Amino acid sequence: MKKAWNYLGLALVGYSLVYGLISEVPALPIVNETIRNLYYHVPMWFTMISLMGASFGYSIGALRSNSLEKDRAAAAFSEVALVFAAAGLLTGMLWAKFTWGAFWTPDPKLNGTAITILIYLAYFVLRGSVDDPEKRLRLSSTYNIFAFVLMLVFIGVLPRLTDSLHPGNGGNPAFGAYDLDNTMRLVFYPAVMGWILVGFWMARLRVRLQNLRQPLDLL
Amino acid sequence: MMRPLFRALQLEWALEFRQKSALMAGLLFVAGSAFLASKTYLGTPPSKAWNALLWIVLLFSALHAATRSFAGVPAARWWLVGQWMTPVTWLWAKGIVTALQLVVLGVFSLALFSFLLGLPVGNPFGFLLVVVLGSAGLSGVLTTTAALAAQVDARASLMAVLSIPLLLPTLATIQRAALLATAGVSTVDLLAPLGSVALLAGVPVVLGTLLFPYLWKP
Repeated sequence: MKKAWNYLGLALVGYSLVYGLISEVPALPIVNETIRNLYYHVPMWFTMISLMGASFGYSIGALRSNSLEKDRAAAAFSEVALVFAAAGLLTGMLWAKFTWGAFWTPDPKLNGTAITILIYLAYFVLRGSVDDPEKRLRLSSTYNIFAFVLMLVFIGVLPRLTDSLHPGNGGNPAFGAYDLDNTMRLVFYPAVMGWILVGFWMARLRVRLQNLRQPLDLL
Repeated sequence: MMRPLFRALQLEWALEFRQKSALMAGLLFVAGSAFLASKTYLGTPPSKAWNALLWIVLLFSALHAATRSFAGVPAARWWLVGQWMTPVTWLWAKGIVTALQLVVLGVFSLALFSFLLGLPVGNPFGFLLVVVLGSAGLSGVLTTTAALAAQVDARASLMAVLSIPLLLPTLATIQRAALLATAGVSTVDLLAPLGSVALLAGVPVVLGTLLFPYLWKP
């Protein structure tokens, strides 16, 4: 059954990669063809947040049941989430270069992303600096829960503090508001679904690998 | 709830007061940085640079002071405290004492900065409010991460790594309120930005309260 979900994810990603390039898009000033980035950039963030949410869930489970396996799963899901954060950042920077004129601007949305990445890097530094697995479980799960909830609050609060150039903030239209017509939805929603499924597949593979490696770490 | 908390506070306060090292180190840090800045700048810097300096100095002295709150606790005292009170009571006592220390540090930095570098602020009373609430607000994140970092060997560097990313958003809201006060916005109009500082400061307190029992050293 899980395999079916994986293949569905692959198929949807394949579909969105191809149709993202060849489908019709509305011709808008400045944005022009870069609107296609919606299919490649936005799903990265959806996937990242879902994976971080799963990692948060595993951390709660790890604290409640003292299960090292859940702790490893929390770490694996965060690792894959960071890969998607990097991909989201890169696709966003490319888009920004062509529409805003610069790869990086001090925009609240970008700052929020930078802070999120720093928080999860801190989580891995914490994991790396504790040798005892039981202790690592306790400390890193606590930090993961603490950091995830705070991050959600920040993402909710920070962009409202100052104006942002990012679509959907500071009075800029989001793609969903009126630019996202029905042909775009036909590519966008499958892309989000597909990337989330592929992201979970990647994370589960990582968990399996870590579980297999576990006996080696004891040697 | 209040009575045990009050007794825990008494204990923590007495212990802090006996050592004084954390607070003294923080005050020295602030004094040294402010003196260095005044020697480099000669005169009052532009208000934004002045603000940046003040908050950077405050952040690092706060980080230093808060690291001490759990780091110096010997293993035996964790056991002893465990006999006397619940983990959460202890966390709150630590947090309140840390917040008080940070407020002392903040007000001291503000006084020293205005003495050495001038006070390029339009609404000094509003700015004082921002400093008091802002420095107390750093305590929530710092106390919880200090409890975490205290259980790891490389605690000083880990403390900075763990807490700075979590503090950045709080600092961004503080900075916004501080710049408004600098521009001379009236105290009543400062209440909304101060509210968002309080909100961002309050969330980690709730989270820390929920999570600290799991950090409790067995």
